[in-house]
Amino acid sequence: MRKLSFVFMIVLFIVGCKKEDYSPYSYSNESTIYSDSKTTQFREFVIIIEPYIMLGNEKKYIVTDTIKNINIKISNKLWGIYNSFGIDTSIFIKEKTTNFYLTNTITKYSIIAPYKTSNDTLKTAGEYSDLLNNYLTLEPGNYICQIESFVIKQIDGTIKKIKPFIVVPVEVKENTRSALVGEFEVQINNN
Amino acid sequence: MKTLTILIVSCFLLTSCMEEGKIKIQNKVHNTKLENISFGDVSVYYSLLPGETSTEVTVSDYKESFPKINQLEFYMVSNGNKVYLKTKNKYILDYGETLLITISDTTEVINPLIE
Repeated sequence: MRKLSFVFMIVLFIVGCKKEDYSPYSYSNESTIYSDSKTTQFREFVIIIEPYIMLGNEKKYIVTDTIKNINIKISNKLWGIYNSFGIDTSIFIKEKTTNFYLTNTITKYSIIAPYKTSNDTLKTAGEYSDLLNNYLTLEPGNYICQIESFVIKQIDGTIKKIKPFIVVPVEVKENTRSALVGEFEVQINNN
Repeated sequence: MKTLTILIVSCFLLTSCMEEGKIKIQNKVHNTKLENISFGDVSVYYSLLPGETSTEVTVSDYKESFPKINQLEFYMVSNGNKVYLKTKNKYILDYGETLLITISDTTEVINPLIE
């Protein structure tokens, strides 16, 4: 019994020392910015991607938990790289005829895209100045949104990089927090 | 008379122990104001526009507390957004000296919240 308690204590000690990767006290560069503006400021773009494959004449939508590394440019400048929200893949009736799970139901992968710095760690005063000037600060007007690329994990675990040709105008209206870029069906080559 | 002499001598001794150093800050960061600038526990300047240099601020203290070695702390402010930063380097202020600190685009900084 004493031996068991000893082992239990050691296990508890090891678990207690384990470093968590998702510390609540870790912050992104953007989250360290304070703004006391009382007006509604533009913050993010909203995008929905619906990837599909053509099987004969039929559209089959890809089922995966998330789409990753979605590279978005606004007026030819990198806005950020994002992952879509995860979806519950168990709700779809899936078939496995290619290297993707497919379904007849439209699968929608949503992306909320606030401005993100390209650097994980900003080091200089000039880099922080760029962040302050870009953060929350798209003035009302028209911009060109470009979704350059994203990646999808295939059934065998390999990653497929997709380069959709999505270039659309998007309007940022006054006193709005976000702008819908659109819903995009993206055909993926089945090879 | 004796009391007065003691008082004068004491004042003289106290005054002679105090020393002064001076600090000037220059803001060369593009499109960004520096606010609430402090050097250690000394508040140096309230606000500097890009390109602006502060007037000299005198730091008085006992001779023994020099040289003062501190990071510069400030808020960077632009477009209504604000971030609290410290310089990575520490600066040395000795008595009888005037220290000019230039914060430019290439000045290395630390954000204490993500350190």
